[in-house]
Amino acid sequence: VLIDNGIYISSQNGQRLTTFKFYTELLCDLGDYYRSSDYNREPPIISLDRNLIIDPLVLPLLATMGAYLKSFHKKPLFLELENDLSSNGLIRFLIQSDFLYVVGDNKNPQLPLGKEIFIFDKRVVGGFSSNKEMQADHKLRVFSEDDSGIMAYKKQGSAESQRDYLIEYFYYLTTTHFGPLIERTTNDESLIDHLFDTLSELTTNGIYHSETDVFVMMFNTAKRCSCSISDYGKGLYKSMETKASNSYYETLGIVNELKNIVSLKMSIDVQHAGFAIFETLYYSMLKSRNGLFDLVLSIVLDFNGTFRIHNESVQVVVSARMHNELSELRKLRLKIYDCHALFNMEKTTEKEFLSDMLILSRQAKSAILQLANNLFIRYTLDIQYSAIRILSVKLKGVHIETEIPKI
Amino acid sequence: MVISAIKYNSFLFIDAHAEQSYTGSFLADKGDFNTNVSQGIYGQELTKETLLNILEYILAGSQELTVIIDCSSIRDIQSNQQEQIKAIKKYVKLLILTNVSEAIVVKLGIDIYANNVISDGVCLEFHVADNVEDVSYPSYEELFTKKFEDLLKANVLESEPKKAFRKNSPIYITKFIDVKGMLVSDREFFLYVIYRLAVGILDREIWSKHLYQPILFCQNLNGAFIASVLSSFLQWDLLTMDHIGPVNKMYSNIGNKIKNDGRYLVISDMVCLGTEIRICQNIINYSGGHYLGNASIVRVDTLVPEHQEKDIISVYHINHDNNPVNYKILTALDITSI
Repeated sequence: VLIDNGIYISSQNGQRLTTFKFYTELLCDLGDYYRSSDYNREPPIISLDRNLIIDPLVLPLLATMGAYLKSFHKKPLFLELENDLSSNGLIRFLIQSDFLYVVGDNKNPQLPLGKEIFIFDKRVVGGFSSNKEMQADHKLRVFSEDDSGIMAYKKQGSAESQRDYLIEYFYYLTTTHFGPLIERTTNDESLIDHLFDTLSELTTNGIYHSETDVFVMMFNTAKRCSCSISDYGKGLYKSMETKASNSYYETLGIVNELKNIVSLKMSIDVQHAGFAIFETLYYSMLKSRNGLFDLVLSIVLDFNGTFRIHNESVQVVVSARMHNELSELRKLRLKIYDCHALFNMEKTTEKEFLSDMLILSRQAKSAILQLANNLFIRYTLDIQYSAIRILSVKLKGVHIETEIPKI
Repeated sequence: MVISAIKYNSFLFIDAHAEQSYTGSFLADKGDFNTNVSQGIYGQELTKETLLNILEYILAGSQELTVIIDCSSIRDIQSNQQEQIKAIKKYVKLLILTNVSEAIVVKLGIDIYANNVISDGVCLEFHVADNVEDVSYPSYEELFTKKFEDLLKANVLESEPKKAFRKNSPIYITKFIDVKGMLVSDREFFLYVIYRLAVGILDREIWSKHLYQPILFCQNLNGAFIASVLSSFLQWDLLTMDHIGPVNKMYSNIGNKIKNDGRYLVISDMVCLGTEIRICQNIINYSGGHYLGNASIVRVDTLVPEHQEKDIISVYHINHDNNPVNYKILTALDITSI
């Protein structure tokens, strides 16, 4: 709810604050705050109701939002917490998940170093009514480019080596941080390996492209294992703009074609934000590397999970409902991958490779265009259950959530 | 650095999991004070740094060989490592991956070499080449034993029976096995020997599968080195008590070092009669801890198998049938010229 000098977050009727509510309600309130007549160039005060129930996946988003607003106002925000010593489960959750350490000004090296995003009254933290510990490894993690462990990555030569270096580093980190959590989740070894790969790939993408801090939270419940990764960098469109064209890829080709195909009326910013998601998937699909696209396919097709990617003001939810389209795309992807592998191992000539890739890239392009167009058509028919969500207020950066059900 | 490499004629053998354990335990931590990365021998994903180490080793003087990389215990591989395999393939006569899972082959993008037989998701011998020819080579175990014996023979110090009196047991040992010398003369290989000991210890479920992890207990300098490497590989704590020494030594302040109900595994370099082990066992049990057993690099089996204790593990055993250095334990009854 919008109040005089900030935002008051509470749960109505005991409903939890989910990422959906974060995008649709909280961000709208925030937009209203900046548009209101009371706005005096001061950052909003974020105050949390003591009965608020918060979905763990929201924590990275909250930290990202704070970090972005801090960089906008050039000063930290106030966070108001209430502690009446009886129902203080929220503060307990925020402290045990390390959220308050990460966003505060913690200097104790035993705990995550604070990023000084929020200022809050430290006296309210403590006096917890119950000593029940939550699972010890449900913690918000923050990674940033100037962590001393990865400072060397820019010296690694080619872009691919830089990424490999980061992926390897984050593989070790994720196995250290999330290993016990993931191993409690499942006994399926291929799933465990896959979750490690997913986390390291997504964190690497965040660090590599956004050039900001990346917030990561992983959480498991009895039914699912989910993780949320978010940054407040330049977003997908600006990243895709910088990709060079070659004989089988044209810079922003998908974005430009979608502008002609999709009939839905949107502002140019929303178009860019939305179409760039498909552009990114297409680009990733054409590459010789295993990347984002393979990850999406694998989460949805192999593990029956859900992949939600939110870029600026558009969210695309990839789930088992797109099973057929995705299976087709996977067939194409495998052909493209083989084509690269053959060329790389010097089994085909460059000429053969390029002519094969030209055909395959055309097929891939039309498949992606088809998928995107269908999704936008379905959006116009039925907004509530659409795989695309167009939100009225944008949150800078890329925010990814994955959910994998336990079998 | 590659720890498990063994060259034999035109072959080069490498154990991928040992290399990955070395990377994960000692190279992966890039020095960020906030994060402590150490995987030990539990890591099962082969990463780029390991592959680059292997490549570097091959470039430094092992080119044009048939390279056999054993991938058992490797479950997964970092994405996009086809480049590294391609680079290794370029500098070798033939690259063979043994015991490699189909998933890894696919992830590496080398499933285009389709002539290899893959059954039940595992390929026993994957040739990274178009033509799969029969290549015969000795087993890695044989070569390891041979290399270990050569190292052992090169580090035996002989002395006159008169001067061979060992203060800690009332015996004469004319051939002293210099484990420190083995370590110094082949550092890489010695790390691999410790890796094998670590794997052996972990396989003893009665030790490793317990709510409280064992604490490695070492009683001399060589033992402390071995235990510190083991501690990185196994991620277990270690306790060092130097100068356990002679049988008749009196101990005044030992009690406070041993945790009540702690589980202790004694690590030593070389076990002959096991006198020091007994002392350690007594100290541990007297102070309220549990003595689990003993792990060593070389062990002399002074008893026939059915009389031996069962709580021991060792990389190499010297016994009646297997005594390449002609090791002898003498008493004055055997020596006439004293």
